[in-house]
Amino acid sequence: MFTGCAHFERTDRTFRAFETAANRAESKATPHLVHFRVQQAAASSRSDRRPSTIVFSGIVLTEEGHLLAPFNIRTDTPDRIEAWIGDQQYLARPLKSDEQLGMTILRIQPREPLVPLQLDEAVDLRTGEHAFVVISSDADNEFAVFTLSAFMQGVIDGRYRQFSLSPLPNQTRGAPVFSSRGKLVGLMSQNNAWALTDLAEDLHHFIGEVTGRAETPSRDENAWFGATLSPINADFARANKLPRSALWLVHVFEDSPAWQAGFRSGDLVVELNGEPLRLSGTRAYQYFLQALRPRIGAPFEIKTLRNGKSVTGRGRLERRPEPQTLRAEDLGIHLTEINEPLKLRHNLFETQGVMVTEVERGSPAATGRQFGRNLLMPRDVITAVHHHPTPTLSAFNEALDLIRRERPGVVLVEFMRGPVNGFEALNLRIGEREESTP
Amino acid sequence: MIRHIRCLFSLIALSALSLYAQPFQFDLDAQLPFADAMDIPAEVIARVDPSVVSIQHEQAGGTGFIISEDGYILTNGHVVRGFDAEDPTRPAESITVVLHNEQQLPATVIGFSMDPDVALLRVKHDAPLQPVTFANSRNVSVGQRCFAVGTPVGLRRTFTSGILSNIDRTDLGTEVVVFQTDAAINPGNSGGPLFDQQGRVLGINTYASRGANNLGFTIPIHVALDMVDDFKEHGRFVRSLAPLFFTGELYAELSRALGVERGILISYVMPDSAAWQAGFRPGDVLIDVNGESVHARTRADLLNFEWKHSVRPPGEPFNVTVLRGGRDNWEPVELSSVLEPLGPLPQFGRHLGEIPEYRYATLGLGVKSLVDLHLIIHEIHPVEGVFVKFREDNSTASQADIEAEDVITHVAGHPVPDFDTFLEIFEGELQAHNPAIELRLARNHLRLLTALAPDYLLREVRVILIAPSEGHEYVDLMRRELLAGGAHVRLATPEAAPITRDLLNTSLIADLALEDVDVSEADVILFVGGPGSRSFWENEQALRIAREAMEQNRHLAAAGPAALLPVLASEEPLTTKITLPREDSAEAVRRQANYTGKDVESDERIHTTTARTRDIVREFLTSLQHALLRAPVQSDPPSIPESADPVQMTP
Repeated sequence: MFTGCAHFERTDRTFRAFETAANRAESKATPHLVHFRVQQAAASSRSDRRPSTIVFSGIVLTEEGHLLAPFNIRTDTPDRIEAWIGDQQYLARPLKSDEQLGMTILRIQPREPLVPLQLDEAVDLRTGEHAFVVISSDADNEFAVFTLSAFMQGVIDGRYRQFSLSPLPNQTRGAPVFSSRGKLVGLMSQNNAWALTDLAEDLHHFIGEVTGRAETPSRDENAWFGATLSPINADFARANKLPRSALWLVHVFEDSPAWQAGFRSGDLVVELNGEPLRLSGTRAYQYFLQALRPRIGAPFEIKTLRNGKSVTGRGRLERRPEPQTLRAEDLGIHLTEINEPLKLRHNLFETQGVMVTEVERGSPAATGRQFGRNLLMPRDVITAVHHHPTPTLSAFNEALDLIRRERPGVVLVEFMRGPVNGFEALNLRIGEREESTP
Repeated sequence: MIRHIRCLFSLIALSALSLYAQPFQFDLDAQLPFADAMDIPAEVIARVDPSVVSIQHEQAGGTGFIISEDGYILTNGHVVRGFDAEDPTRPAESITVVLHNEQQLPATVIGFSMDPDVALLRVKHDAPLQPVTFANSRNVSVGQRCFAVGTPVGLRRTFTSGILSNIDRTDLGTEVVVFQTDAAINPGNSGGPLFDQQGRVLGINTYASRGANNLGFTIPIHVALDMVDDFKEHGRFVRSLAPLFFTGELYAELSRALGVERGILISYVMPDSAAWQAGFRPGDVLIDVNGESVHARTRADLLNFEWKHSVRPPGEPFNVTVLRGGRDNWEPVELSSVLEPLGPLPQFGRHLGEIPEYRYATLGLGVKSLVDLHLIIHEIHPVEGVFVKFREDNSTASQADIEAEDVITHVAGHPVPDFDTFLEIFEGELQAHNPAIELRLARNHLRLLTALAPDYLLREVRVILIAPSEGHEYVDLMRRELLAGGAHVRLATPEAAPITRDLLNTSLIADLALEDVDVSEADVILFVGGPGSRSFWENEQALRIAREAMEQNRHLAAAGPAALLPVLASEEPLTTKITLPREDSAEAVRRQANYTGKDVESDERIHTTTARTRDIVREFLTSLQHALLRAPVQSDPPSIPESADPVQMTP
């Protein structure tokens, strides 16, 4: 009888702790919670779809009215987007959408400063731990907040880890997730919670970019590491007791940031910026690219294995070297200088030349003696024109000047097509305008 | 040689041709005034009709024509080609020739080539057959009347007529110049003759442009006749190679730009090749061969020049003068070399290739010897290794990140510069059940390191493979697939004599003589097929082994004619289902065997197959593997420990 009482008391305490945790989550979340209501613009006449309303949750990012929505929303969307914060309703305008995050930052004009959610204080969930998901609702046209509970079932690895949660109602996407101690954990994806510890840095950059506070864009296609990477084979890794999440530096370009950091072809990347790589195969490569957050000047610290010993190197990404290009309209071709990356990308057999990137229709280079075949083709490496070697674009330019001065009727072009030499004579009269033909 | 590479562009040209031909169709109802002059005289028809035959086999069919009384028949290579990816030189299985009088004869392929698209067949016939006569196809003219005889869409003895529309056609990317005709050529006409008005053969009808009207293409008969002797002598067409170089015609602009009036441009010489060593260099202009001046202004000129030297006997001198130097200072240079026989061709353009593929289907990997032409065709940087021809998706090889056209340069840390070394090292690793065989690959400029991890599902299975000394088929295929599956394979032959591998010219060493085969030391007894395995029917030892295998409850597997062994070895009529090649089935029926006629039969512990094709043999091996994994042999004493159920042996 006594034991039964004690047991009941303990259970009661547990219930009360649960209740406290839920209330704490609710009160923490409510000031930052946004309820989005998207009314789709009238469907086009072609479709018989009727305009509908979509609702989801989001959070406040800045005092001045930047909000985060958990979807990619086109900035030119014709839809009407309402943002409800407490009893206030605003019209929101999408500013920028990030494909990798799958999120959009929107802007409202708040009547008084908003309270942004502090993203930096996030913690991770442990398996079995309870989580509280705070969602918004507009039932009966009233802003309302609901707190749902779920327990963490396991982690899904990736650039942004996801905590798999026990089943929740459908419309939770974008809602903040709290631990039982009331700490912020993440944001809801479709069914799981994105770990904010992984997401925070990229989110900060994203916010910085939109608000203009960040100095550089968060990602830049022109940023260059300077190596060809290839994921380690799983069976090879197992047999050689190497990590499965690792990438070979198959080829390190000379004088590239990777080279300057001390890396050489054959090194195996195992850590990036102090953290082991995640995932395996091509997903490890995607992870690396995302986690590197390529932008010009971005620092990196990479640990590699070389002959079993670890080598750590630091450096900064640089601007991708862009080979010079040229349009030789006399011949009807576009050309580029050849650098190491280009040689690898196109599997070139000759570097002492200039590579054709485009052949203009109806030009001397396009005219073939055989049906459906041009004299010159993209990827040909021109080594000499009109008996002048053209190892560089400037040498090619000189040859071109000569042709313009001498005005020969035909020009000999010597080139390499893959591993094979070729010789063609281009008839410069082809493609000329009426008045210039004799 | 550049013509080979040019083939790659031909398909584009061909499809464009058909596309462009469409809008030009129109009807001409007008009565032609000289219709009578177009009739082909009845006596010509009567003369040519008996020489034209229809050709049928399991895959397709076409037309052919008799060229000699003793039964030689010409047709297209593509009419009789086989579809064996691993042995591209293998023709179709069972070819039937139907004479004009509907008499059917089995035919053998003496040799075939896909480019030029020519094949030589032979039929045996008691009475002399009526051969065709030949026109001089080097001397023909556009506009000349011609007619085709063939089996378009299976309609036997169809005569269609037209004119020679063009006699210098090079646009199809073929190795030789072909004739174009507007005589209706349809699928099934392939391999049939194009006659001139006198009923002499001008050529072999070959290609028709799909979607176009009245664009038929014909291989000039002199080209086919050039190849006949090679087919008879070597079974294949052996090209002579004026040591490997690529040539180009000196078209008007090129002639002006180079400042050379006449000649043939040598555009590419493979470094370190025989041609390079003979002194040829890219940019040379060939002006004289063996004292005869040479010149090519057009592509047709060039193909004719190349063909002329391709069909000269290897070993003949090739003494030439080239111009070297450049625009204003061309100097003649004398070079001497000899014509060399061109080695087996890789697959490219229309060519099926002549290099066998060595495929481990269990691993999803097929490799070939790497030849110089591979480097050019697949743009491979000079490297030593074996060429990955085949890589199956979702296989052990794909898990190892191997891709088709990779070159394997190292196996388990050892360089594999040639095919034999590769086999030795790779199969050694398989035998040792290495869980992760380290491979180095060359791909473009990159060198990659990976590992192949076979499952070795059959690692506890001991197989004795029994082959006749001669006339065996697919013995090496069975050996390597079982090996790749992890089985312990031993080869037994009469007197333990070594036997020739299929596809390769090397030997397989036998481990045992038949009398030394102890059935209790094996889980599977596998008799290899092939016509030679009929000798097992009366071989005491083979019968003993088969009988003991059944008595001791081993898996008894047998292919081809050897599949009769279970029937012969049992004292009472065998109730287990078996299958056999069709030609041997009478034996089975006579012995009241339970003969099903399927390609693969697996009943309890007796597994039989017709082994008609490589694919059927592979299907048989798969079915055998399933049976082994389902019902592993319990030997006495058990060879397999309780825990070692092969199903659970996946690493």
